Amino acid sequence: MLTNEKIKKAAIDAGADICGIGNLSLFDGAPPDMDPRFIFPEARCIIGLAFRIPRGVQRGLEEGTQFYQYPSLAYGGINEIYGPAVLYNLGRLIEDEGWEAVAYRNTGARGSISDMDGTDGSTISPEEEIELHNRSVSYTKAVSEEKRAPDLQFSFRIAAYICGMGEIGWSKMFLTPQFGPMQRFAFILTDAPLETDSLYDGPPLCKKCMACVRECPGHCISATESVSIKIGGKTVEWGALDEWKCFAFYTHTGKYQNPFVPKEVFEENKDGQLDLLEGKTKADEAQVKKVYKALEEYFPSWLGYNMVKCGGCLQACINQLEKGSGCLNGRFRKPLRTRKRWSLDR
Amino acid sequence: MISSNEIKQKALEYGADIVGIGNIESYEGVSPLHDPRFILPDAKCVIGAGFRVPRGILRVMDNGSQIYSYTSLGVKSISEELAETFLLKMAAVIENEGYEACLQRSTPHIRAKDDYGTNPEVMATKQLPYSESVGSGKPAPDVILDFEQSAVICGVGTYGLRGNVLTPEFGPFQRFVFIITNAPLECDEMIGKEICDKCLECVKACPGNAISNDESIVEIGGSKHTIGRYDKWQCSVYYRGAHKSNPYMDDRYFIDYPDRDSILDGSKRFTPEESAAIYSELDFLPRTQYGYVPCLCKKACDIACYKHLESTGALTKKYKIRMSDESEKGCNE
Repeated sequence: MLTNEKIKKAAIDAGADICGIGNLSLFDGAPPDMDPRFIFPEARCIIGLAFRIPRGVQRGLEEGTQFYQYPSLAYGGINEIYGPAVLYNLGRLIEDEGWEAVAYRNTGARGSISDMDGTDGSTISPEEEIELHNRSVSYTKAVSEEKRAPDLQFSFRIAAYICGMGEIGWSKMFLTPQFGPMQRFAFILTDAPLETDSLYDGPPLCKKCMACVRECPGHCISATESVSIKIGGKTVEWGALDEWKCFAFYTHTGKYQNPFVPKEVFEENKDGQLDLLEGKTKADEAQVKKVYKALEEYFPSWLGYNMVKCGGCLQACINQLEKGSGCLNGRFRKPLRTRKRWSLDR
Repeated sequence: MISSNEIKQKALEYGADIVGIGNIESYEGVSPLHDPRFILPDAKCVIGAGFRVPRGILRVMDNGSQIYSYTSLGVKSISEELAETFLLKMAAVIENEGYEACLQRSTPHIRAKDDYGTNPEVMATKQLPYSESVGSGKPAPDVILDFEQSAVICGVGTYGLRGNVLTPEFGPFQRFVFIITNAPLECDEMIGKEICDKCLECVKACPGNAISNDESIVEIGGSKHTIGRYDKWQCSVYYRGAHKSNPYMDDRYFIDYPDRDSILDGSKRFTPEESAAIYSELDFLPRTQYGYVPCLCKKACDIACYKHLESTGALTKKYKIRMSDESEKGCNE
């Protein structure tokens, strides 16, 4: 018989770094279009798998000498290759026992509502190349009255919280005690009657140090405004994030953090294409596309994943968590940050 | 503390066929644009892992019965799937010990700032000509390891004539990944004896005359290696099938080209611009996921190399039937 412990051992053996099992009733109150119970109404629980992002793939960004490996391995590699293989193997184990395993891999930008701003219709996603993965679901409708329109996507961060794997930090990145902000997720919905885990109740992982706010090159995270929701009686809060602005800075940063684009391109700002990066206009999808189209040629993508130039919040967070009472202190023999973060002298 | 032996055992367990560990000091004198110490400043060594390209995939290409498997399984699946999974698993082993694992998968479509070559295996490559250093003393990103040089430093192989790597096990047929780490592992010596005996079979086999015996010396860690000249842009045209031995070639191709005959017989020399311009004409088979193009030269250089090494007994991995004999044997023999 499948148990909580057996599933976790099998998940780790298959290649996951963390496994937690969440009670689906904790999605009560979630927007119906983001409620996984509409995917598999008979599901009894949700199994969450976390895959570490090796700190070593952050090293090139921290040093400013190599940008390719992080997105190709820690986005493309985990989302497209590694994670699905683990989901498949864990799913086989569950289905061998006669229960159903609805594997849910990371699949941004293909849902019925935008994972950027919650609106209906077609939007783009920061992780994925515009040309290849611009969402094709420009029209969708529910197949019957009691269902929601396909494809239903749920929040991975909320699901990871419900699985008890950690908490959401002020930056909106998910933090675990084991890896801080360095992991990616995948899930399985199952009708197997597994014992579920409690919500994370250890020491706060996010110290609200606001390093993420300070080091975001686009100033995309508010230091004062927040979003808060209730899950299982607990308040979950994170800083208000300007997702569209984050998209532009994540993919192309700005004059002082993108070493692949000549400074003259930023200075010329032809036809106002870079107004968003220059802080001259509000961020929205149209402005993001202008930035993207103007700068994509300088560092082409691979695997369909955008070549991240930023890493500001992520590395700021790692840096802080490796100090003092941070959950990553002592995890590595040497810290990620050994000198002041670089900025181009332009 | 994790040992070199444990790392090697794990590497084999996770799917590598060959593994070696190279001393970071062997990169002394290497261009900063390819020096792993600019990726991880306190690096102690580089772990190199090779994944064999199954010989059966090459056999069916050599005997002319199947072309597509090589690109799909021998290139794309190894580099994009098997090797990525391997790297992520190895990172966990190393980082669980508190050391850093800077994973280095291949970078098929980008070239470092000083690299004016190309990669014949993909639709297009992009140099990073505008990249600039982010700080004093640092090279312009991306720093990209020279995979062939790194394999030699890791002691898993030696240079072939065209600058590729030959291993004692598989000759020219493997693909590599690397991990730069600050773990203080015991390093391997480089292989002392060159595997390539300069037989020039690769030169004769290339339908595009992309390889020549114009020798140059490559120096690594104090040791000198002789290689020939390999024109990657020329190769990229004939890898895509611009030659008359391409089984998909017919009279419709290059019909308006005044130099059609010299293209087809491989005597035309292509500049980088001419190479890139002709790619759209060379559309014989669908490309695979991620933009890898079918190999329509049937890897003639490496197959000729392999057959030669096998005939001289230079390879440690033995098969029941030699590759050069296979095409002569039928099912009933």
